[in-house]
Amino acid sequence: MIGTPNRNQAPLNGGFKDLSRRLLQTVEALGLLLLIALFSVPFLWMLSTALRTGNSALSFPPQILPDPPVFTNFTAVWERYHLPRYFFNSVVVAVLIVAGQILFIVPAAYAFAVRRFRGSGPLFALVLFALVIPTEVTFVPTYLLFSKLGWINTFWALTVPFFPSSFGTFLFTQAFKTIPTEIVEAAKIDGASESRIMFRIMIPMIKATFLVFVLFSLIVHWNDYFWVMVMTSTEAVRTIPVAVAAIVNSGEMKNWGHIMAANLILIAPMLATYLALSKQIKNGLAYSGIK
Amino acid sequence: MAVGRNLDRALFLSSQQGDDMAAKSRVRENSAYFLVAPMVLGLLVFAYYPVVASLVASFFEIDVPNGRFVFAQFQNYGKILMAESFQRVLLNSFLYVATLVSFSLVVGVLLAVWLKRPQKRYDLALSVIFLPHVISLVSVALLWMWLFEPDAGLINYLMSLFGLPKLLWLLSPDTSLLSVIIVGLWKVLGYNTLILVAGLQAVPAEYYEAARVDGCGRMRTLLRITIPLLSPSLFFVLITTLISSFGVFDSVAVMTQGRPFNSSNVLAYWIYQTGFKYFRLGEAMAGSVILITIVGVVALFNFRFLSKKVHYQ
Repeated sequence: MIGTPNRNQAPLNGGFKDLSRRLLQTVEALGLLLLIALFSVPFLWMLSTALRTGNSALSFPPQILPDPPVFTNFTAVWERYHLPRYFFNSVVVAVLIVAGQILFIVPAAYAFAVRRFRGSGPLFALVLFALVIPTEVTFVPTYLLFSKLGWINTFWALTVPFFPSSFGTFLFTQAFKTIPTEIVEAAKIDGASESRIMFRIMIPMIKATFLVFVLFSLIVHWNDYFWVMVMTSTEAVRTIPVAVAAIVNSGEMKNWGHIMAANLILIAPMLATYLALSKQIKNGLAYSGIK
Repeated sequence: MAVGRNLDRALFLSSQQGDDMAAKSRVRENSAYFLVAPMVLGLLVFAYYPVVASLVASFFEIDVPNGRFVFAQFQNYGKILMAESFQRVLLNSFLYVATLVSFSLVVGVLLAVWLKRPQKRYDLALSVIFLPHVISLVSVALLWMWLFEPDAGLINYLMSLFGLPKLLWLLSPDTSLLSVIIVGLWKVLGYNTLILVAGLQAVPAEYYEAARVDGCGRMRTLLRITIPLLSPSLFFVLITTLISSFGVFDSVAVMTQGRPFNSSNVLAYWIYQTGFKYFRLGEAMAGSVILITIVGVVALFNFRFLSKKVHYQ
């Protein structure tokens, strides 16, 4: 493709080194381009498929650019598969989970970081060890428990199990430990109540961690498929990933224009969040990986 | 803020008792238990109870319609371990985990060393390869189902441009697991690379300076300086990839449902299938216990042996 460097053509004085360096740079740039293509072309392909009409989606060789681009796939799936309903359910579930998590995490993390009490070590270990348990594997007893409680097909089953977040407790405990104890003591002397200290004084001091956790929890639970599949069977509470995945197996003939349009509707909120906050997300993640 | 108000009340009530210092500190200690109670109880119910209950139930035959339990000793384990289908599922899971973990570590480190440079174009590449981490595995699976489509898919089209034959990808028993693995790699690689890049950037530049002065070659620098100082991040990537890939479910459920002929089935999906489609709850939970044991042993092994080698600055 690029050709091997020819010694005879290169100027004698250091020219070969220069040429091979330039060659290396070209190869490196091509590699970078290939890497970017590997991870962006699938997205562009999805977009292009969603903007094509039904028949041209299946032509071979494939039509690269939709001609003309149409939005009928989006409007069709939006109505036919009741996506607004599922979209709404997804928002409710994600918001409820994050709110519940904050109420569970903050007091616990505060106690672990600021208070000294007997058994705090083993209790914290109990929190950490839960990180290793994969829920994909232990759902049967939880399902049986929820069916006794009448929680199947309710928002309870979709939200409450995620309130006690061990990851969040770990993250917040580490962050709270960085706050100087003098600040907590001073607030106490001023007569601030403990819940006020936690939520009004300490939370604003760990804003970055707080934001990262909220963002990640929203992304994880917006994207969740498994738990919703297992715990629900009705449109009233199911979320958008389940609805979109169901389209694949709904007809005999797969309509890829429809599937990709629905997939884009599912992805759009997360994609927009990432594009708007990519720096914070990347830094926050990297930080949680180092610690 | 209802919880906050109740907390205040609990604290107020407890502060009414006595003024002497010892009592006061005891009260303060006790109120800490109120603070951690929701979290600890919640984890006991939603994380630990299911593990224990799975273990107990795996020794019973469960009659689903009337919910009757009959003690069955090791019968559930015997039945599934003898079944060829389960052996295949175990093998598939091991292949999936081994490929994802080794690829994440080797390719992840190479990509991280390459992309950690400060120029804008590397940052852009990092942002792009990280994209799949933000969207759901369901979306990634749907997208790749379309790319893998044998007749109109992009991959077979691109291969035909190079004169390569059409493959059936997800539809053939020879390539279905490979396809599922490719999808898993595409999703996880960017995240792991990002973690490793952050780890590399935390290595002080003086170390590299010193290595250069001492005349260390590139390979030596990588093996003697980069890898040891990167070990906390490597360890993190190893553990998170291990746990998440043992639990992989969504991509298999969406793309293949374990088909064709069980060739792409993995443990988590098998447990779901056995429990919820065939209603063999006892066997499903025996499968859960086997999976938990594997994950537990592997994680423990890593913590005991590898964490000693992890080099914290």
